[in-house]
Amino acid sequence: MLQHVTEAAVEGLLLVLAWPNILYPIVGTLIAMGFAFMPGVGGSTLMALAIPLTFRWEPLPTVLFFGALMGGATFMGSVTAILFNVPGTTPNAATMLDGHPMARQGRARTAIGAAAASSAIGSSFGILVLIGMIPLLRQTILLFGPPEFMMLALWGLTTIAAVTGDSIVRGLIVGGLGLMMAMVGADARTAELRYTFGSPYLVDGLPLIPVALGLFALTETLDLMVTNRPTISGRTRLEELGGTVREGIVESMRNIWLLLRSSCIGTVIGIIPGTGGTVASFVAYGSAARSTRRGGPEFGQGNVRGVIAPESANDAKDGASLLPTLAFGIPGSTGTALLLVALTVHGLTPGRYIMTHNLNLVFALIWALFLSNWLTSMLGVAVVNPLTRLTVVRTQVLVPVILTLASAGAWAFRGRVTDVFVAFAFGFLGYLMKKHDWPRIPAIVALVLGPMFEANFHITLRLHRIGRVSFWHRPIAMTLLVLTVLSLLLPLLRYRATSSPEEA
Amino acid sequence: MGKGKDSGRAFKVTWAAVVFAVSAAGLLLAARGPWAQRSRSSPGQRDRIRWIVPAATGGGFDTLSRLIEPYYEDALGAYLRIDNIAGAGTIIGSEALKRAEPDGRTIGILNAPGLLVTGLAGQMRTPDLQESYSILGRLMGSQQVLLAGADSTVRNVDDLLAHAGQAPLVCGVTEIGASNFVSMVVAAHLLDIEVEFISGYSSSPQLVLAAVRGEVDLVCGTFASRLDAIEEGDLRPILQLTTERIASHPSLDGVPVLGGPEGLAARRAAELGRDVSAAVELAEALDQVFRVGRIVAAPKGLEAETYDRMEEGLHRAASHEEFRQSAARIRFPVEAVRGPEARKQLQDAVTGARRIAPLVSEAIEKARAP
Repeated sequence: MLQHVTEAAVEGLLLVLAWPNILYPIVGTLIAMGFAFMPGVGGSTLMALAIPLTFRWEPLPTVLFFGALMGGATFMGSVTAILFNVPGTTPNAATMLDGHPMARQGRARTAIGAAAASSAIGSSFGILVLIGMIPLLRQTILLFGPPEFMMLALWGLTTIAAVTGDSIVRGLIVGGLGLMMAMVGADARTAELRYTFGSPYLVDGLPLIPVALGLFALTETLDLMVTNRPTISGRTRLEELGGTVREGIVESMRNIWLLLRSSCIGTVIGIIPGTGGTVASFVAYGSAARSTRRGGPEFGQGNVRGVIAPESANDAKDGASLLPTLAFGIPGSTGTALLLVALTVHGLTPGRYIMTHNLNLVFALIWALFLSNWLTSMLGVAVVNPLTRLTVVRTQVLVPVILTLASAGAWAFRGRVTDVFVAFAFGFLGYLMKKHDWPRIPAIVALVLGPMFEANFHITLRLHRIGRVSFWHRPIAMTLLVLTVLSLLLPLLRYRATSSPEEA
Repeated sequence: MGKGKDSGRAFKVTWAAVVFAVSAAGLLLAARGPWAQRSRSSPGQRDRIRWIVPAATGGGFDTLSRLIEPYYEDALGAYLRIDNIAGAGTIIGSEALKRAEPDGRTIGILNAPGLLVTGLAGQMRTPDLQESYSILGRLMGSQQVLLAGADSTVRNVDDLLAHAGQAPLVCGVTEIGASNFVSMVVAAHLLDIEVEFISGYSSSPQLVLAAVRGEVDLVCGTFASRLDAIEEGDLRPILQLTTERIASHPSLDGVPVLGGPEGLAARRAAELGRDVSAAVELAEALDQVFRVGRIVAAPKGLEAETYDRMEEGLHRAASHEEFRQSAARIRFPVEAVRGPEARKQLQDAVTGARRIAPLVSEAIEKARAP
């Protein structure tokens, strides 16, 4: 089996590198990068548009092109998150939490450098782990059920305790409000509508992208206007900016264990079908926040570890998420759903057959994704100076641009104008929170992970009650439970350790 | 975040910034909008028609729409632009189609069974399909099938019936009141078996995994969407919830059909001493609700000439060999039906929905009980 996998991996790589096959991932990456720079558009829109285009193509070019489209969108979305607090795609929302504060401190180049290095290494890590796991893929996927999803979400929710800084009570209140916001829409168990006030708009719950755009991008833009800060970075000349791309790359290397740990998180979450990059980014961010060292900036205040963790997890997830898609035909995201369509149009039916008879094409897809991830990171680094120039553009020029981008991003997310109003409402709310020193990150963390926790909590309870699963005999769920308890206890122990000498 | 060195200076927006912002927005809209789909389009030469997809990019409705798009464009001599308006289980997009002007410039695809089933749950107002739309045709039907996990103790319909009067069978559903829930409720009633619902699985594919993991005994779904899992050996069809055999696929050999005079519902009713004709009618009602499938419609009030042109165009596009081949490759069982016939199917579906409504309402109430 191992020899079969190795041969297929080599054959897949040779297929990608052969002329003119190599053009497909390169062109696909460049197109995806352009699209990903436009907030709210994302790779999935591009893939949907590309499906009819590839009808008459051979299977191999289709596979290579779609692999590149998947990989190209991820990193560039984080560039807008860092520069403007406007996430290009939903998972990039985690990157902006510390990436944009770094840009405000004049360290956008460092943030982008760290994001590029983490992105490239994270994706490579994810792909290497996957190649090793292909023989055990089905068994691994089946290890994850509702108890594991529930505990994963709960562990992620403990991030709230780590990102509240000195105001634990305020952080918990905001986290609680975030969980209440996550409950808007259909009840996970009964499908009864909650807090919708009869509005069809709220039936699907509060949309993440408009809320995140409001709480972060629009809040910061309002702050820029009110405080009359001259530029995003506070500097007016490029030479005054601190940080370099090299510094960002070095920071990533210095935090290599964090990078690898986050990549592991991203890989595992990617393998779990239907979980997605947003959960991967936020869980990795939370894990980094909980293990933050003293001395550096607080999380949410421009800590480079807050960029490294979500970026590496998000890119590691990309490769991993392909495997449940290919092994079971179960897509983890809109992007992989579209990939499924593109493959089946060409007679490549996901499942055991493709994993045994077309494994070389599976690897060609993985290598195209790998190539695309590296290419995006390298091109991103190459254009970092023109991009960071935007952080010294005068506020009077930049504010209308950010407002327009954020509004259009909110609209483009689902094509609904109401989303723009919601973004502005949360923008004002976020501004009030910022002005009065209330943390905003707990609200977003709760909004991302709350629904996942609630649905799987109910399923687990019912399955446990009727004897279909035994929570206490699930090693992965128990490990996550231990991690959750530790995540809650460690800040308390740290607090006691730091406060005791003063009391004495 | 204290005040900067320019603090106190009035905030002014420059004209250059406004122009730049508008350009950026235009670029974004051009990329996001369906204008991006056809670079060959040039305004003024051909009409533009907006095709509303009431679901997100990438789903079955979106894919089917994009598959037929080029053929329908050729048939109409117009450009279609696909507009995804997702939300509230296709209600928001369907409402948008209902509110559009009936001028032949806006059409859309509707999830008729989904809207009818949502209406049964009674929580949301759904558009009246007969009163709100001019039906141009149907692209695909929807045939429901009852399935068990490959390792389940329920291996066939005899095993299923053996559970009657014993411990309830565990059935996974996406949510109470969803299509898979409704199908199971009617089937369980007709077969007189006890079912316990586990709801909250985030998507239909997650239900497949739940069955493979052995968490649930049964799942319901459309045959076409479960075909991959069936062929992989992950799921086994137990019962066809239709009035006739769904397809000639070998996995359905020996799998009984629920409806029809010789169907399992009739035989079971006779065994139980129930009203056989009522059982047959109920099974047919279930089939009618789903058979109507994915319909293409325009807002009500289309002029007769425009209707004829669009209806004929859809028929030609849906009959196009290339379209049918592409759809077959992605396991979309296209069964095109012309406008008048689709309207009749819709009428039957509405009647069928009314017939199963009391049963479904009772089951929803029971499932929601704490």
